[in-house]
Amino acid sequence: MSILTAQDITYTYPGTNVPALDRLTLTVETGEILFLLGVNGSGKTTLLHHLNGLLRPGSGAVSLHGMLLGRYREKDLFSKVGLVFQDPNDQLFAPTVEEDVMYGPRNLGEDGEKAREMAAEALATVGLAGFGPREVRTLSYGQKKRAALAGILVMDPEVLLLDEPTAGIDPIGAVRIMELVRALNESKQLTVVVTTHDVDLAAVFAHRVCVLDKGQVVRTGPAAEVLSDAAAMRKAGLRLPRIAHLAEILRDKDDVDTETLPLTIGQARKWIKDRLGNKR
Amino acid sequence: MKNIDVRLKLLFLIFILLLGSASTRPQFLIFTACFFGCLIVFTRPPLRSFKRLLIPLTFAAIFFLAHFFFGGAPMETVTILGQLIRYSPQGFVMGRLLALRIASGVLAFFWFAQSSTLTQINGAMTWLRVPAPVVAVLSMTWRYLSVYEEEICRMRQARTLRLGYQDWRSAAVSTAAIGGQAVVRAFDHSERTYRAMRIRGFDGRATAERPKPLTVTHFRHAIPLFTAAVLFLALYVGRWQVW
Repeated sequence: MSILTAQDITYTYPGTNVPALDRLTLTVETGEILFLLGVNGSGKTTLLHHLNGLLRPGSGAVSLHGMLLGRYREKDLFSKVGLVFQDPNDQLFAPTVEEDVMYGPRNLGEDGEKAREMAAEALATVGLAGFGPREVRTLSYGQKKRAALAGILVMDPEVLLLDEPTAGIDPIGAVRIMELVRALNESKQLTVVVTTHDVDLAAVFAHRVCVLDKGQVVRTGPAAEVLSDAAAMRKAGLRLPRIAHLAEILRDKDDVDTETLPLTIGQARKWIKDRLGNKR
Repeated sequence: MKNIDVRLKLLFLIFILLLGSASTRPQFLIFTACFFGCLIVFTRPPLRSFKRLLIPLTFAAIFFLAHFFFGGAPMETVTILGQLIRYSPQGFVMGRLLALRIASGVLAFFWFAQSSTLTQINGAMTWLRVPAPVVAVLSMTWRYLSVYEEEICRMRQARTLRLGYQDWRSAAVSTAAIGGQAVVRAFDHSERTYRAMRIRGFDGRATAERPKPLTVTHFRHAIPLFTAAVLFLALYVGRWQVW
């Protein structure tokens, strides 16, 4: 069942002639992790800003649970569809972590004590328990990313939109953030939309992938299908996941026979074991 | 100090500011500045936050110097370190008063801001019937300041890395450039900060902690403030002369 739908949306930033989104149609299914892949300037962030109503399309419509976003009260909409900005410095504006995370619940009408409890819980969820009194400026970039995520999770959204959640984070930290997101998706049935150009991350965590190019959807479908479609990926300026790329080279240059390309280390392990087994 | 109800602190602050702006005695203002200086030390704010005092205190110094040198006739001369300096005695008195008022007021505000959270302050202002738009604007300004401060730090670091502070001349050029750039970036950043506030439910009203009714316990905690208020009043009316 779809939760968010963008129908034929077009958007052009003021002062430019080229549309950032060009008659784009996308459906987000309830409880899925959808990755929006695309190169810089392909329209990923603009699309996210449309999905939570920060931007209004020039034409077309975006709806949540079948109702146009414009018909929601802004407060209701933003508490249902949470957006985490790419740069946490844009999102964190309070002097301390606790005050920043409490900001959403306070705006939703929670009293100070309750908001404080909620903030502590959200901070614990993202692995920042005890960071409440810390000044925001003293956090590392990765911690700021987590604090920004806590500031949105505390509002208990149905849909979580993450704009490049792993950009600027070390590889282990990136995987930890995505594991946290997957855990939330599984435990709370949270619908997650992630923008990135990290195809290796998408191979591990995406249920479904949508490839954007010049403001249009060029390919969408299950992660395994889309990420192994070399032609579509390269046309959009992306590459295959490393593992799939290696398998592709083995297939094309070394005549290793394979129908599907493995995308993750786990799949590659099985793929190699199968072939080694066949040779024995 | 954090146990004292923020409403009582705000009332105390307003009382002291009123006395300070009405007072023409430098001794009173010096005492006020020292008093809040001690309270600030007692509150133990992070060292970095003291940087926020720099700009208003610099302004206070500039006002003083402007009055001191250009306060109008009659002018007198004084020798300092072998240099003959012309100054205006009338300007000296005016400048000193102005600078001390700024310094004592700024220190009082700093103590108040450091010993209370933003939502508590908003709650106290709402309790005092300050109009909601004013509370919202003040709250946004405060939030924006901390973001903006970081922005200026980053710009300064970027210039330092490219040797923008080699000598006083390049430092002056860099500082002026940052000043200009800061204004341009202010628009951009305020837009982003506003967007970040909007997605977390900001609808034009400031978040305020609804204060509980004041009880005897609140007043008991605030006994040191009441004592200080009486002391200040006594000093102001001059019945208790310490000088």
